[in-house]
Amino acid sequence: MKTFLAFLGVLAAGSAMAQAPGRPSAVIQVGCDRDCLIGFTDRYVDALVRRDPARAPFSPSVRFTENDVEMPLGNDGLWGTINAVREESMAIADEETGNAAWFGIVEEHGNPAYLALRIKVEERRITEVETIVNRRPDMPKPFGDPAELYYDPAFAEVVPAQERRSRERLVAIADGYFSTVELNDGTIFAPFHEDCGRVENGIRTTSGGSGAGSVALGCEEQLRLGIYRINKRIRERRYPIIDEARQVVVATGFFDHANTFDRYTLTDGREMRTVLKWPNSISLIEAFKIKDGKIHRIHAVFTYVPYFMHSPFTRPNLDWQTR
Amino acid sequence: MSRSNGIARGARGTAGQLLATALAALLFASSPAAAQSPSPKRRADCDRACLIEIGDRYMQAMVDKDRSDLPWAERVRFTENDVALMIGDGLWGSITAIDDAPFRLADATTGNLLWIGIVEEHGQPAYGAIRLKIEERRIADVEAVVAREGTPIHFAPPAGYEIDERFGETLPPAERRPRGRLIALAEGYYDTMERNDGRLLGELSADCARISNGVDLTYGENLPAQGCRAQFQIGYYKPVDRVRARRYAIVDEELGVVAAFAMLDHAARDVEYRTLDGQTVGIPIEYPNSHRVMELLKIRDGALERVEGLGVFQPYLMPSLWE
Repeated sequence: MKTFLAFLGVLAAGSAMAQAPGRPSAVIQVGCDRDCLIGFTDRYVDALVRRDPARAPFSPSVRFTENDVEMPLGNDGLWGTINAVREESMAIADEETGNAAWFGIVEEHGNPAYLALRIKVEERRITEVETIVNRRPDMPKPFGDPAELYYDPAFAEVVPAQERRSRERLVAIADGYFSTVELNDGTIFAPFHEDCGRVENGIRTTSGGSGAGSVALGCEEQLRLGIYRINKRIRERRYPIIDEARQVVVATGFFDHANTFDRYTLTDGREMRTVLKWPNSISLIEAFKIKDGKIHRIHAVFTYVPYFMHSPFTRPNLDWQTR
Repeated sequence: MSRSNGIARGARGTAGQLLATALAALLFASSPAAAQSPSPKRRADCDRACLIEIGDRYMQAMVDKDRSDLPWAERVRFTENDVALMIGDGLWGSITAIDDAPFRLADATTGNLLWIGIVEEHGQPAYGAIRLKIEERRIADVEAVVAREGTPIHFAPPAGYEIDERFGETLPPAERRPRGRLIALAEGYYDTMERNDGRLLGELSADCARISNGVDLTYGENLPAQGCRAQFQIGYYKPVDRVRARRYAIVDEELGVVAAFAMLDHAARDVEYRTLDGQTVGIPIEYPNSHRVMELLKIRDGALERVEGLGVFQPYLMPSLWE
């Protein structure tokens, strides 16, 4: 009898672990397809611009962050200042994880700001809202003319099935981008399309003009020069949204600029100086379009945050742990 | 505060200074307290001179980028601008020089020491305030607040800046107040700011002034009222929605000085407002933000005479880790 009870105990313990670690069920049923998820982003933005959270279906326990600070949803932060949203926007969704991203421009008291957000939908309710709001004036950083903001249609194009890469490979490619810009010394850890282009806070930073574009043109060309040497770490990288059909990955993370040095040398010998002389971090939401297994388009919205700040979605209740 | 020749150049002190530091370190290391087992009473064993000496060693160790000889507690907590870091990161990595005549405030009752002055990062000056908590003659807490150039908050060039000499003046016994009353007056000051209904919750001297990041916020052109008292009486502080996370870790009854740490939240729901006397005033930053403040409050004969310190631009509702 004792042996039989012991057997039952093993069975019970075994059944509790019969799905992947951290997953509540071995079958994830989002019950909300791409259009449905993007519809939730639209409802969120509609509620936001009307400052009326009742207009969107939020879970009672919804978690909300603005620039990595968690706060009650519906009255504080952008919810208390927004007065308009520009019509043009871009949305990306992942039916497998129930996450969706939205990139657009809002106005606070008439002042434009870049907004990127991620929502998570569970049982047809929004359970998580993570937002990055890039405002002006702030610190020295790209802030493009909102009237000229361009969302590349490539992000919406469905890729023929035979040309697609797997979810895992898409994440590896995006992660390789972050590994390349981390400690950027010219070493390339990701495949770049020869036509690769990047937009950051509304500025095309790989095609001339000011900033990085004035140093070199093209994604890989800039990175081979090591112009982003100041990135000590690309931290708390997450890839919550993968659209396999469109070969798009949306990532979140932090770029840490420890600024232990204020000048550095490019691989071609040119000397560069840092703009800011003190430790700082940027927090971002960044979309990658992968074409033929290579990074083709990058669209990012980011803002400065205190050096080494964490995301509450990444490290809940672990503020005192720093690694 | 007297000041000799501005910023000291890190480890390049005079031979005499270095010898004095070395002797002090030797004496400290061989003191009986360092060899004794931990005891709750030991905190009081580190008097004002002891606290200041450890504070000076800490600051010099940062410039030397060598933490190995500092007396660390078994568990050390370190934040810089409200983010937990590892010792060696943040300001430790960017600092190149420190003020040679800082203001230091020690409180043997609580075991806390404040160093406030100018720090340089790659030659760029910033306002720095570093609080250390000493337990068993060892550094247990390090709280660094650094106000740097290049953020949207008010900021005057730090070159030549000195904390007003009145903070260092010892009060005659009749003008002193006990610790509890000094803290109550500091609380009253921030309550008055938060309530902002024209009522003064505590005495303010007729010429009370508030200086933040070297900027006089109470006297000058384009201000709707002159002085702390008049500004409070017209409700000038309406943009401050909350004064949160207040702490008064360091009090000096003889000097009549309280070191206050707090967070000021600005929801920015309105970009202009009417004062109680009918003036229309615009807010300086038209989107939600918080300010980490570290301020010295000089209280003479029961009245607040002067507020002087730092303000750091932070994401709206940024948490404080010290509560």
